Amino acid sequence: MDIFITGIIMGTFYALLALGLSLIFGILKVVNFAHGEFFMIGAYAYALIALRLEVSPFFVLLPVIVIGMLLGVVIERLLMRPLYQKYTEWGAMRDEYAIIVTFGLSLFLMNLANQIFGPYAISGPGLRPLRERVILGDIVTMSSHRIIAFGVGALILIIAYLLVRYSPWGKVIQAVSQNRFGASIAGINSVRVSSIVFGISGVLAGLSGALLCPIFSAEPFVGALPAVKSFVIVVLGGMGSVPGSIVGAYLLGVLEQFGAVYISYTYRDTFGFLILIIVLLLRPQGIFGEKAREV
Amino acid sequence: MEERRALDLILSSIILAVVAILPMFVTSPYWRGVLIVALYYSLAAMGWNLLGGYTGQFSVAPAAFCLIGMYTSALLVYYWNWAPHLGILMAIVSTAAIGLFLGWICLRLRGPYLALTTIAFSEIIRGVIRFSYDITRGDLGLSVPKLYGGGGRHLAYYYTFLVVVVLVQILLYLLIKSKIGLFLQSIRDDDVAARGRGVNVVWWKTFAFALSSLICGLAGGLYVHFIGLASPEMGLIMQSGLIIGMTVIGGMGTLAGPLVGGLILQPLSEYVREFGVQHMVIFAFLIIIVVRFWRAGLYGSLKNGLERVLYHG
Amino acid sequence: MDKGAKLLEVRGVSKWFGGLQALQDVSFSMDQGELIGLIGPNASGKTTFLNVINGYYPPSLGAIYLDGERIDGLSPDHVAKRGVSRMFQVTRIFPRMSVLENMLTIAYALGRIPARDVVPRAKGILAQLSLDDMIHENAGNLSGGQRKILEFGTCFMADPRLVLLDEPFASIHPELKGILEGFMRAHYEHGGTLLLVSHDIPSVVASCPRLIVLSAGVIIADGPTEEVLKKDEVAEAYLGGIVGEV
Repeated sequence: MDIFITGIIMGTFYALLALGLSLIFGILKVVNFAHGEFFMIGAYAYALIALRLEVSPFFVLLPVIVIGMLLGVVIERLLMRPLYQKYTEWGAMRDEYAIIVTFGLSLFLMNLANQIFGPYAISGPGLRPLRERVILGDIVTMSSHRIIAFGVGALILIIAYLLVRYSPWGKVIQAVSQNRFGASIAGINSVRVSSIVFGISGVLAGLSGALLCPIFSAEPFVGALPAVKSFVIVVLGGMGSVPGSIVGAYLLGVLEQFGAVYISYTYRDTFGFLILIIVLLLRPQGIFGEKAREV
Repeated sequence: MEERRALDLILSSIILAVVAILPMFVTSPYWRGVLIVALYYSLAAMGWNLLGGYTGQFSVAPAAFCLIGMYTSALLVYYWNWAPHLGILMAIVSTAAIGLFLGWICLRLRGPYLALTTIAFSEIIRGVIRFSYDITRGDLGLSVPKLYGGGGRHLAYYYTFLVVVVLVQILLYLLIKSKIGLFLQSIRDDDVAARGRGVNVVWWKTFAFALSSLICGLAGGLYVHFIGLASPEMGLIMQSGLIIGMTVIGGMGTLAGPLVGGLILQPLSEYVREFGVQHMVIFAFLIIIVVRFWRAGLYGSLKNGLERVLYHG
Repeated sequence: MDKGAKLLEVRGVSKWFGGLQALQDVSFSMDQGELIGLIGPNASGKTTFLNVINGYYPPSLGAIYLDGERIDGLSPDHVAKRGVSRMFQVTRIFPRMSVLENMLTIAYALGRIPARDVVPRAKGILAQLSLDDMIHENAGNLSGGQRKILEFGTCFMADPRLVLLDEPFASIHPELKGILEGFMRAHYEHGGTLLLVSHDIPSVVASCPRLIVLSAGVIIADGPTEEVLKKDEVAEAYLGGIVGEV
């Protein structure tokens, strides 16, 4: 049972990460391969700010949000614009442009962090002291930071989901996601929406990094594995499907934990990959995805 | 297009000729070693270029196939005392077969789905090799004899790699020039239309995967018997990133692009290392800049410029 | 094959996409040497119909025969190899290959032309279509109209038995349209078989002796052009009798 709970908790963090990626794919139809680095930067921001300032770790989450937003917006402005503005130059290869440019960005950020901060891990303070434990009934014992982080994460997730689904802004995002051209005819500034979505993605990923920082520490390559996992989730859930990514995140979180305990601990990270390949073999559009009509 | 391809071939022949006489000017074993590694990357990049640059299948798994090539040969030599040459030959066979398999998996996938599947595939391969500690000694790596025995003899390796690069280059030139080249490029440009025009996309996509992987496997096989160590690190996604990056910076879909990318970037990154700068930072930055502003790559842009002057000027 | 023998036979073809029925019990046949126009209001299923014949979608029900052999369910490249060529509604060419290479690809892929004839034939067709000064230009550098003409040209490159044209005249310059019409007519007069899908009613009426009208996935008329146009159902299908919209 506690395996299940751990799975749910991890799933929440995965969901935060995957949600941002999914939104970007919905809007721009591209995968942001540097997504893991937003996570990493969030972790670093959290750790460094918390260490410098003598405030409660909760407050540190605020600058993390700001940094995440800025990061997303700047990246979109500098690198992603050509995708829909200078469309004709890359034309049929726009997918490839996005892959290469975000991949390059990922390599750049990882190694920049390595250059600036060195390869050693920096740990941030927990939202509650890390050694503090919480006992839930007879079943679960775990660090209270994890529980609180889970709470914060779940809250953000719910807020984000409600916003996208029901708020006016959310409707705008959905509109651009479904039909960029049509949305712009309807008067929606698609470019601004893309900016904002990238910003939100940065915030979600950064927060995810910050919340997990006390557990996994901040180091230059910390984002790589979570990134790949969120790719797996987004594909499983169907690119651009918000509910799909959330479901996929929890699914992966739980399956991984069970796999780690019952099948193989060594290969625990490999399960996601295997699941991905098998799913795509059977349904090239993901579980929730839509099949695009080719011709 | 005939003349343009000929120009591509001429330029790449010039580059290869320069590489051939380079050891006269570069005498330190260290830098010769750097060039040999550059040739390894160039070879792997040529393999990827076939798949990504010419056939439009953006696989992020070239390094995985280099790794498969490395370990196929390494394991055969280590456990069954095969001669390294035969090990390398077997490396070609195994990577072609596994490449075929990956091609089959990826048939219906495109764009991000293809990239992600190849990433997943690459990580599974690397994971299996790492975690099969009993057989592969995992992260410690597997020590293997070198192709030319003991120490030094860099020149021998240098020219071995160079000869292979030249042969592969000729093969690729003939392939691209032929109708197969037309089919592959049509798949890249519009595979739906290609099917409608009679191109057997299934067969040729698979072919491209197999041949591309084979070349990477060959590169890996040669590499492992130069370095003397098989290590899972060479199969990291970042390694694939290097290979792809070199091709992109040099120029995708050109004959000499991968060569230029590998031969310039590898020594450059070594040089930069002397200044304590993370060479990867510069490398990654270059990838971003080039792809953002010069999508044809450095060599590609040069070639296009030359073409314009020669044929329209 | 002799003119007048049955080349294409479509029997009871229906096609569903999920819950949406695009084609319903479509049946007709085409003889060698016929030029048939296929018209119908938007979303009537014309393109789906071509896609099914071409092999991009298998029919949900029914069968398609080409010269007596079943071709439904075959993949597009196999259907193409049997001599069916297809022009797409949204122009599809290979932008990073030269104009000449665009022509060569289909020729080599289908293998219906002897190797030594391929290049001369390609150049010949391109000359007829006034593209011969662009043969080494990347197809992506061509204007929209030129690309359409190029795609049109590829359809006739490999000695096709059946040519499927989907809106070949849409949004191109009248002058270019004249070239295409002339080429098409010449092919027809030499015994070619063509199925022309078009919104351009005047053009279709002028060229095609026989007309099929598709509406909401159902064939509502099939016969000599003059007669079909007079039918009430046809006028109704085009909303209130305004036949001749573009």
